[in-house]
Amino acid sequence: MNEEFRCHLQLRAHDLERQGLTRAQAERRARIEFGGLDRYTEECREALAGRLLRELLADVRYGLRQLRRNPGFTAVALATLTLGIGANTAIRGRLEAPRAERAPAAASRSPPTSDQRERPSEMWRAIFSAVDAVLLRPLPFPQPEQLVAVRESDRQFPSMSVSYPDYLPPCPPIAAPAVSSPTPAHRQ
Amino acid sequence: MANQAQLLPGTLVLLILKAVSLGSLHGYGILLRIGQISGDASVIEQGALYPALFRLVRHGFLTADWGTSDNNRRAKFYQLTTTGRKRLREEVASWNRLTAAIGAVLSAEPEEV
Repeated sequence: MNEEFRCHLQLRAHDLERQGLTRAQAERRARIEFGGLDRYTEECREALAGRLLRELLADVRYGLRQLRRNPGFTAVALATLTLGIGANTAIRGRLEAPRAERAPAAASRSPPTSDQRERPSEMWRAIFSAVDAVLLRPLPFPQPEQLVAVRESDRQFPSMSVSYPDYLPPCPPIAAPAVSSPTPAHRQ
Repeated sequence: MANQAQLLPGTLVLLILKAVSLGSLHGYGILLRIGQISGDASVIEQGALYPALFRLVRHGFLTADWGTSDNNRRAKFYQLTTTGRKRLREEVASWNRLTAAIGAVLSAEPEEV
């Protein structure tokens, strides 16, 4: 776009020079005749893309500019994201393998191990693993269905948390799974 | 600027399409050709040409290809598409209808009304 405008201005200046103006005068006159360069660049972009997209692109460009101006911050942010997502992928991969052995039916639902990975799906798996770890998966314990949450209750407070010293003998809670109705260990 | 014809909105499209129909041109060339044909009445601010050109490309009436201009710079050359040709015909027809109607109104004598 700028290239096109520059060519136009040059051609116009050239013609004006042939009409007798000096180079400086011709260039100045050409620019005046053209009108507001910035305004027309803006209008051309809008003609191409439409308002919403144009404003989105402007915001993205602004964001990138800001990142470029703060390289330290950008580096830290990128490093954090990389480490976080990468670590998730690695841990996810290592946990998936034993799970896959034990429950081959469930393995079809979980992402495959990294041996069979190809480049692009590695990225998707990384993203999936991040979302998966936060939202979807139950806790990565062996036999998680056997985990229970132990609560105390009395007249005033029907469900209180239990501190560890209270949990220990001489109050044996081992029979608790059979006695009360424990809450299985979900994301609490 | 006394002789500058005021361009009616919407007629710029017509002028551009007509200018390009006579041969593939870059932006400045289109401007010149419009000037040549219209007797050099500087009808528009030169920069206003380009948003109009971009819009026409987006609607499919023109295609733009990069090429080299006379002064050895890169410029986009615009060409009429078949859709553009059809649009030109339609615009010319509606323009003629408009001018005929206005002309009839303007030349009406008091007794005729």
